[in-house]
Amino acid sequence: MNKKSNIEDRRSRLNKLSEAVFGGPEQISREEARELLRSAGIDADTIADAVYARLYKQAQEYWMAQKPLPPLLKKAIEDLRPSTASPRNEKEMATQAKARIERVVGQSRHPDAWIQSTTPAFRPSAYRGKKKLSTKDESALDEIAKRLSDKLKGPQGS
Amino acid sequence: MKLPTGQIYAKAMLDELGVVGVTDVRDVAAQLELEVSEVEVDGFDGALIRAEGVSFGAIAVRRGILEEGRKNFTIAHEIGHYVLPGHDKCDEVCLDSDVGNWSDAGKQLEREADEFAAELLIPTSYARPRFSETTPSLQTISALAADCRASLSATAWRYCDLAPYACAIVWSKESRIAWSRASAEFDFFIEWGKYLEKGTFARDLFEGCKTEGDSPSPVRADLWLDSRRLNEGAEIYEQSMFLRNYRSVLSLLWIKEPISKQDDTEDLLPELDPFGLDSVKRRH
Repeated sequence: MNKKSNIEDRRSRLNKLSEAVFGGPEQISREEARELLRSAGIDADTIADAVYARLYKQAQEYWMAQKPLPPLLKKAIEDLRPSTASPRNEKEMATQAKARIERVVGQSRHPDAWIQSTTPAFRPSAYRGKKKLSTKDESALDEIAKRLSDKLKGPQGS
Repeated sequence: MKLPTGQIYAKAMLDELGVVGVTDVRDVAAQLELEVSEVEVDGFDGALIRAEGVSFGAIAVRRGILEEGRKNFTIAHEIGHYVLPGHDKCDEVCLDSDVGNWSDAGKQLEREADEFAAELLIPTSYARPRFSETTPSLQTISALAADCRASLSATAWRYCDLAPYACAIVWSKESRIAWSRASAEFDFFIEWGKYLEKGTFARDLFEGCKTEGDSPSPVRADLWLDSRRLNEGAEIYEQSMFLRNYRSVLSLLWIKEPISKQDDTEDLLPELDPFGLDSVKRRH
């Protein structure tokens, strides 16, 4: 048995064991998977981005050798294309927009469903029509930031 | 390739929230858990206050903004910063702009947030049919601005994107052209920074010697446009409105009938214009 087939055998065995313990991919919805990962403190997008980066590197070897991508690699790259990657056309952007807006709205409906090891600081991140800020301006912003911080601490602190 | 990022994301937001017709931006902010506060400040019109990884925040709006439409636009603009990709990475996105200023085309993130706000407040699906129903007039624009609770300048900007006419809007301040926006059909260049010519209704309004017209009226086309391309005696239609709060004039220009000279180069053999340079037109 050569080394390559040995690795494939191991992967196959690992897949079988994993499916026996956790079930097959078809037994869990995308949302449930995200939710489970989130509750375990794992961000699905971060994993997807990391896997994408690794697969992209592999794909580059094919591109440099001017060879066609294996179908599964091609599909994985298409499926995992991160939301931050530049869309190539309006349709792709509309798909990304839909996914992002769904996520933002979904998170807003469950504002407590985030896990953070440190308490993040609220601060102004964007201004419109900004000039020089006076002390009065800064204290107005500080007051809002404090109110938000209190809201954040509220349910968790108790 | 430049994609209308802000517009696409605003459409996705309207779809997701099931908004039909006019958008209540304060309601959209509430649905996103963004608290809107009007504050006594001078140093900014609007600000987004957020924390990384937290799905709620706040939008502060300057209480002193006179127009409700402009407050709404500011809120919509900050919502744009909240949801658009890449806008959470920057520490501070500043727009040191003047009132109604749409001329900061170089600032990509601000442009995207403006596009987002324009589509959110004045949705294409709602505005386009209304703009197509009547011939161009500032009344049409004002009526839609009132319907959508949007600012006049934002609605006028949208008018040029959506109305099926050869028209342009021009914002002038201190008798000079501050910015303009033209529809795709308006095939002329309007020079920013140029003093308004005597004889334009806009100039008359600055000089206080004429009242606003009820509808667009004919004016010599060469007072606004490059005379070299115009037919002799060509006229366009102009309607201007003095905006007291801003000491500015908003003008609507409409090319109702063809006014261009037959372009001599159009009949040239292709080999004399191999790169198609003749078809390159400047427009804002």
